[in-house]
Amino acid sequence: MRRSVALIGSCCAALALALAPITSAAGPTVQAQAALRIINAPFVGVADPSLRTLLQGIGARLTWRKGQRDVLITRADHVVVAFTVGSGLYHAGGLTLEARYAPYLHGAEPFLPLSDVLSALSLRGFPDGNVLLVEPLLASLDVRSSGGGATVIAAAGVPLVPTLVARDASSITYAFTGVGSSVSGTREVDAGGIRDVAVQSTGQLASARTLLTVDLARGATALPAQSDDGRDFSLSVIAARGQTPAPPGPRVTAVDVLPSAGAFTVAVAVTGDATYAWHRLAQPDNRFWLDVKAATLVAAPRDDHWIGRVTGVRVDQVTPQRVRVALSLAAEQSVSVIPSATGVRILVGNAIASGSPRAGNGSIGSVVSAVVETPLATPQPAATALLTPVPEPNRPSSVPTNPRLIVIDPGHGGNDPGTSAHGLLEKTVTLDIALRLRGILVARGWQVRMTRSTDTEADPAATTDRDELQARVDDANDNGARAFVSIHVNWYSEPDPNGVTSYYSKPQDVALARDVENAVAREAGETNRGIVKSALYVTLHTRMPAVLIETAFISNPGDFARLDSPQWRQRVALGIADGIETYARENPLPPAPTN
Amino acid sequence: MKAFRALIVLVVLAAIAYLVWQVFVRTPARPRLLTVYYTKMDGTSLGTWTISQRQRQAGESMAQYRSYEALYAAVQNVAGPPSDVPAVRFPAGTHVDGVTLDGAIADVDLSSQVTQQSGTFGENGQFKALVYTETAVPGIAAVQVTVGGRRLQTLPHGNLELDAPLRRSDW
Repeated sequence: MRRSVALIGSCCAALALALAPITSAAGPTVQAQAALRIINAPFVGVADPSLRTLLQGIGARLTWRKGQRDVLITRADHVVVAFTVGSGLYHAGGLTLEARYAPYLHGAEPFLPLSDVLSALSLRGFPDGNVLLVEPLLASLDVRSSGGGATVIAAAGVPLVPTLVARDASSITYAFTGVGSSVSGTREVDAGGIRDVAVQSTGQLASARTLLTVDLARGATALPAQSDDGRDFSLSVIAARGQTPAPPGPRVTAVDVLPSAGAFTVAVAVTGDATYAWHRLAQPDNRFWLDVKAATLVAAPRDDHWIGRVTGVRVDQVTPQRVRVALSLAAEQSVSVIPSATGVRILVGNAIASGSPRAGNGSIGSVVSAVVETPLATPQPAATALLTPVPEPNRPSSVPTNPRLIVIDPGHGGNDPGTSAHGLLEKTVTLDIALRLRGILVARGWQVRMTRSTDTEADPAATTDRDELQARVDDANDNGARAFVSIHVNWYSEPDPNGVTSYYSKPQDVALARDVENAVAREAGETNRGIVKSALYVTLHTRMPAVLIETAFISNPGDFARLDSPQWRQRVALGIADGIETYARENPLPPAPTN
Repeated sequence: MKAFRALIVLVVLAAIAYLVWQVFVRTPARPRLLTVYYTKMDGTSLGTWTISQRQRQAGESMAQYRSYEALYAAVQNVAGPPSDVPAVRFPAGTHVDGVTLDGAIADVDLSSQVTQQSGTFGENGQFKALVYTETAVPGIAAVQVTVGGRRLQTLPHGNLELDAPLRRSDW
């Protein structure tokens, strides 16, 4: 009988992974459980439903197709973990790690070392007879001060659901039920209204509980906890007025060392915007150091030593303007440096990786960036390397036969409403702006052709999206228009982006796009997001200068109010008309040839 | 007794072979690095992050390895950069169902969640970064996007032309 693992429990509660018999559709019976007992390293098959259930429970996803030797697991925090059959190494983001055992193939199905899978997913397993209990871990804790306060941000291998358990004027405590911790301890902050942050893991497995307590400075106020992405925990604190401000410049508020079987992590918490640079020496002097520039060390200096792949971690204010985090490595392990808004994490893999980059730099805070200073192994695509040439499409341009004709294309229409918000439809807004634009242009002596002038498709007989868009393109191409203007409304899944953007595809579009963009931004008082080249159907296939203008973001509250305003739409129409006229004035057509 | 001696000799030889392999054959892994692109929240400029990937395995053809690289790159790209990096991201739940290579064209098959969006901002940023990432894999010059195994002309309510391979020069 084949045995495998079956998941018991759900996310946010302790997860239980039980070794229980299930029927396999692939191949013969396997004595997996017996083998696990012998080698003390459980494996799990990638086709095992219980693994899928576990991954689903923590918001991770497995990518594997029958016959493939590579297994990719995308964690909920967007890091991809890659295992390969027969390889003792696996990869997690920028890190190369050594697996306890190499994955093996049984039939066509890869079996992965369960301990490494759990480690890669910030989970911890506890054997209990035939049952492996799995506990998600609080894996990171950052404190970031900004303005007159500070924010505590915690993240785990599962979505965090905090419960307020205690609150008074001097402290606030939240509990995460079913979650353990790899960041336990007390971190002194003493800034932004926070004295310190303490993490304490309590309870037994299956009833694990982690308490996060924030000690507040006198007069500070804690706002209700939130989640930025539906997974993490975020608690903002407002400092009392008149409280001693934090010293200027970035500050290193904590350095946490988190040894684990997978990545050895050094988490450096930095408040404020900072830049950093890192270096590492080659074998045999395997030292690594990271300098946070123009920073003050607020946390206590440390000089710790271990036996293992990282033999020492030293944190010091090496100059008045520089905080150094230095690691002594036992060998040439792979190291990954990951900046974030709240600090930088140094991850040391357990696999030897000679030839790794020797230096890099980056920034922390409101601008997050990372640069590896050695040449990348991945070359840019070279035409000479292609096996099969990919022909570039031939897109003819044309001289307009009707130089006073402008084709206006109100986006969407009929059965295609486009985007929408609060009952306001894109197709309605675009048609209204287009009709207003038509009136302005006609009054200025232009001829105007509309791809649609009512709430209908441009080609009601079109059966495909392409046919519908091609009908709009044909309207302009067949009538020899001077310019083509497609009017749209933008949308994004987050509310922040706002403003007007003009998209173009062909070189002859650039001037028109720029003139329309600038005029609309000026006339309508919108944020000018600039012109953007893209492979949009209508701008690609029209033969004359064309622009697709995304007038505003319906997903942005401010922009939505503007889109809902007839006065604002009139100003947009006026802006587009001004842009077309500027373009026509500055780009006169060559004189028509005489017979 | 002879059998026992033979067994001892065999064990000793195996141990010597293992030591020789450890000392002389097993070489440190040199990680290959892969550049993955994302589009910043200005909707047009690109950022990158670097990931490590495995080496080509013994017995693996170059075509197989390139196919793996293309899949790995696509999965990383669709997953996006770390959570705290502001980036134009694919709609939640979007994943790569498979990548196949047809000469210099990578056929990237995305799940249907990618269609659950509207707005040029998102689709432009997402596919720009995907194309830059895939064409950073040696030998890949263009990307043909499919959704659920089917080629789309555009995304529903979308404007980007998807029924032809996309190239870096499209941006």
